[in-house]
Amino acid sequence: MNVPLEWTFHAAHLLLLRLASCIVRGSERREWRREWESELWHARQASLAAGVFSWSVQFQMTAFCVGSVRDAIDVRRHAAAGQKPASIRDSAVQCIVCLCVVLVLCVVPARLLTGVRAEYDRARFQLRPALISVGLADSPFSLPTITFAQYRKWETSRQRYFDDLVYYRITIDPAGDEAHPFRNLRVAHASANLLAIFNLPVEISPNASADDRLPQLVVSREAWVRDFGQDPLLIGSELHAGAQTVRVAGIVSYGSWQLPGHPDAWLLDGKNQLASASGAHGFVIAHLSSLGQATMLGDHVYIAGEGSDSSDMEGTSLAQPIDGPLRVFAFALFLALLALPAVTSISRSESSFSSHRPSLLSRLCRWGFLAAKMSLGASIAYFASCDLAYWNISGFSPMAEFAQFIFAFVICLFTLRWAVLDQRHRCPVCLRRVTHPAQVGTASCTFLGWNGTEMICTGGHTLLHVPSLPTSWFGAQRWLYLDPSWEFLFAAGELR
Amino acid sequence: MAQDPKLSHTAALILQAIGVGYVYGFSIMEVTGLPSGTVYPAMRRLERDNLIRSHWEQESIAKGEGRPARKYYKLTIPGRSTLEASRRRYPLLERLIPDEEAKTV
Repeated sequence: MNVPLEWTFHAAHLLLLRLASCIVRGSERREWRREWESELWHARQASLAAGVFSWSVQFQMTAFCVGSVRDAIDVRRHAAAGQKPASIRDSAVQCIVCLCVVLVLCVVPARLLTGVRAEYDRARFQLRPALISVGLADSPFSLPTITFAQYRKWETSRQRYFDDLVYYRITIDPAGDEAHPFRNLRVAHASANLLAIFNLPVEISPNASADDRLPQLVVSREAWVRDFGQDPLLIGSELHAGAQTVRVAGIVSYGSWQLPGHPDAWLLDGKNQLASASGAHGFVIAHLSSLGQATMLGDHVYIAGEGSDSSDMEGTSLAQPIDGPLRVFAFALFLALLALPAVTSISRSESSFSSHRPSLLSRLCRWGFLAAKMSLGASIAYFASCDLAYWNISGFSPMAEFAQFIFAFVICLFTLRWAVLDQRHRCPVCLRRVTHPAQVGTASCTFLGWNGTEMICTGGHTLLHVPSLPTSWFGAQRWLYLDPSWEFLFAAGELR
Repeated sequence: MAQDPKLSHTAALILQAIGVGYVYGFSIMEVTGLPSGTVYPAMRRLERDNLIRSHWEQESIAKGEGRPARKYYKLTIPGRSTLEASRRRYPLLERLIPDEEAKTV
């Protein structure tokens, strides 16, 4: 008998079987290799019994081993076909995807609503500090009380309390051209240093060059949206405003229009034009010097009239504290977190009968999932509250800001409550919601046993026991971790 | 009672082999003439459908005889009734693997 050749064949056969076993799934690999090797051993023994080396026997053995590779491929293919894709129903992935979809549905309107943008701009573009609106001491803040002559007098005299002054008066002028129908706008005819003193975020047209002879008109974003249909070609174009032709120099953001008179557009007139209506009353905006700031009482400053013909003046600060949507939301979220224990229990309220404890990774995943749900829920609350508050309001409104706060608080509170309640019904191992609730026992028939609802994880990891009547020994829900002896109840590999 | 499953000729042949007493994988291959790549997956499917049952012989017995343990296959009760139905469907089955052959295995 050709022993070396026979052993060479045998080694090759064993190698083939080992390779074939590598194709099979890991859980079945050992079983298959054991069976193939056992059969090969018996077949080889039968051939060795003849005592002569036979090529045909070796080929038969080789065919068997090559067949084992086909076995392995077939087994692997059937295993893959039989293995259903893990259902995402009630899974953590499904939950996160749903929250993301809702978030996107809330973000899109928030980006489109002009009111939301107005609130953002208002919070973003704060007026310079120490700006005050000056008016007669006994007149309302919103009424124009200063003539251009008075302004000129202040401007030309030496001032200790102010280092910059701006004058503007409001007229209602029809404005438009061939492309834009004429509409009445509240036009503020202002002195030329207006943009500098307010530090306004104006999108200036490249056409508005310094040597342009036409007066410059700055349109509010609100008027641009409302009266000019957001026409991008408006900037730089010529318009008829009142009796004169002007060039639209730019669009100014929403947030800057928190000034007396609520103008729709600013026309940067020369002093001669302003002086032509010197009898009309307007507003004066002043920037306080450091000495002027020192004399402020709260947000007001009183200016005594000089001489018997001068009246006392009062300056009111324009830099009102603006919260902005994020700060409003942050406060609502804080209140919702404080109120959360009032609407649901936030204790961990879970224990295990068995000694099994999920791995550190599982526990981290579980906490991460809760954090993700809460973060997404809070984001949804933020954007949804903006959407609801500004659904029908085009500009900034204190009422809308208040409505946003209320909506944010309510949505945050119930979203967080949902996140906590949902987490309680998630299997600690696979984060899938437990299902198939079954009533166990009845209170009237149970003396020492527990009664309540039992739910099971479809992955076969846990049972959840929720008592109907909390007792001193069974007050909160409990998880029971299922050992491998339960596996036969669940489809193999379906959810793992 | 559920209707007997319809088996392919190959599966019926394997079932017939096991039914007449060929209880090892290699012997089934020998008697049916089917290659390894056909027999074993087919036997796994028959086992999955509860028509045959497999078990490893006791390790101690195999060790005592100086050989590795083998895996035995045998028909289950549903497997027997399915084999009967298959014999009616494939009349040549009994002629291909007659009962008396197994005595030599």
